[in-house]
Amino acid sequence: MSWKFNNSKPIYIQIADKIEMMILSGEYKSGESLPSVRDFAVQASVNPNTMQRAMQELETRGLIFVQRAVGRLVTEDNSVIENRLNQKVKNITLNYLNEIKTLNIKKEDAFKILKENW
Amino acid sequence: MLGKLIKYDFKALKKTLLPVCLGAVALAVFTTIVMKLFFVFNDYNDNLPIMANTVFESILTLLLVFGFLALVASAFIAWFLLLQRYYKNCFKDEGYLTFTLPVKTGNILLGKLISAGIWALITGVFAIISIIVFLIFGTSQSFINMDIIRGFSEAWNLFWNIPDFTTLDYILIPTILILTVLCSIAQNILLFYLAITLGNQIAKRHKILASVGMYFAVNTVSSILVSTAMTVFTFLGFPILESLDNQPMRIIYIYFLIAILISASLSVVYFFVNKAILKKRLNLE
Amino acid sequence: MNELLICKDLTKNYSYVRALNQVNLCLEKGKIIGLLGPNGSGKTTLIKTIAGLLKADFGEVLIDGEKVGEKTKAFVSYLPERNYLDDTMKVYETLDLFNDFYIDFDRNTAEKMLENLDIDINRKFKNLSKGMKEKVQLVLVMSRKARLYLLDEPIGGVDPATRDYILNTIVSNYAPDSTVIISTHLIADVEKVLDEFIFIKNGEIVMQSSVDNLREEKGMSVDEYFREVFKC
Repeated sequence: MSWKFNNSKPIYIQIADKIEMMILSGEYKSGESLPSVRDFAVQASVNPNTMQRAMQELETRGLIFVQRAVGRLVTEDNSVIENRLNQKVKNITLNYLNEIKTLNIKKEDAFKILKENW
Repeated sequence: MLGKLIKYDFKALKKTLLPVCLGAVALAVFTTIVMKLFFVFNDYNDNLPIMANTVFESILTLLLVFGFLALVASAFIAWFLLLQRYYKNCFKDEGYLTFTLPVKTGNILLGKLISAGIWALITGVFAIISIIVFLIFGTSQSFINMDIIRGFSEAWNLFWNIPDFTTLDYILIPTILILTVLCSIAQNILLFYLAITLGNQIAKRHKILASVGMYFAVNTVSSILVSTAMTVFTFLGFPILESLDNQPMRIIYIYFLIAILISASLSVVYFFVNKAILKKRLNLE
Repeated sequence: MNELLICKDLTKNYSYVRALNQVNLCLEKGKIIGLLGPNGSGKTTLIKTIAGLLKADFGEVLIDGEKVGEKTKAFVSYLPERNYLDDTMKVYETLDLFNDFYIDFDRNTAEKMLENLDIDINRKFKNLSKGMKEKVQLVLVMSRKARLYLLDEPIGGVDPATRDYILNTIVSNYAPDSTVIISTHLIADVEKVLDEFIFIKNGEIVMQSSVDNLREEKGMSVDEYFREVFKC
């Protein structure tokens, strides 16, 4: 299944974000090896060079590391994953709050709808 | 690479030309049968009413005329197919593959010349077979026309017993004949190829029409050159010819050799002009 | 030396129409490059000149340091925008032909790809559907381990599923150090597989840049930017 991309951000960033989500959600577990750049590129039907850049981006974010003869593995440092997950959840929550507050709705009512839909 | 080019051209030509060759033989058999019917019918026609007589006769004549025309047409069709392969494979969509193969342009042209030449010879052999079949089986009331066979063998014997002929003559004559045939085939094919190339280079539309025009143009220029050359030859060579007055065979040889030389030089010129155009000015649109 | 393709002052006229006007290009190894422009902008002319089917009036093309000729044709794999196979041939005969002429052709790869596509190699080329013909040609061209691939409108006129198949075939088959040029006017579809893009307009190169750079600098996709540059 080829991946969809939006128009504003560089594609390698979008790929990195997508793979980060896979790691944070546990699809790729800590210490697990990732597919090769080429396989990943074919899976996403993107250019292998772009995939390579996305991998470098993930390395910079500290989410993956390269081990010789094995390839790229998800970081074994769980604190990094936890930090990034918390950061992500906070970002999403802040976005939600920003938008919901513009409606001037009461906190209790918002919680109620949140619980109903969880 | 030249071998591979010939292989693929030869195979492609086989697809279209082999049916034509077999068709020619089939037509020879067909006309032979029609002739046989004629002979059989002639034996009985006195017993038939005049009306039926004329109807039968005209039908048979029509079939015969059709058979001969189709035989002649198959020769033209064979030539058309040879040239069509060149045109399609070089200047239509297939040219996009032909001219992106990692081969020398000269080899492309040479490969096409050789495979087309071989097929021209093969069709020629089939044509001769067709004619012989008709002559032997189709020209007499009996199953085989013995007169023809006798005539052939007499001519054969006569040829091998010409007075004053040496072994050298018997070697030279077939050699010269073969060379003449090969050179004229090459010259003709290359002339057509060059005309097609020029037609495609010059015209934006009606490329086939332009090719026909170029054929006549190149042909005219060639014959002017040839007749000029011949005049010069004759003028310069007259003393030599005169000294050979009592050796008629030598004069014939010299004439044939000059003809072969001219044909070969024209072929070489056609080839290299064509190659230069394909190499330097190829424009597939 | 990392340049694979260099075009210098390439100019080509078609009886009073200037198809290419002083095109200067330098393309590196290992890139997938989109040659983007509206119809009649000179995309096909440029590709055919690099492939050796057209002779430029001025300027020159160097591929890996060689002038266009039988040497470059041995390592340039060209997919035209039309059917260029003798359609009386059977599919396996076209494989034979590629195998005979191109030393970089990998017959096994080609046969596997055709098998995956459910194309019977004993069928005659002319009995295949239009889409299948295009796929066979793509398989032949991409089964070569070439240094430069020239793909002229490989995704024009095919359905979205085939489009994905074609792009995947290109991405998964090109050798890492070889360069792919894809000409197209369907930019949104190819954008994600491109490293770089070239905008060509009226036979002139208007822009050459990397896809991600454009997004970083302008916050725009190549497709959006193209619409802005080529606005009528």
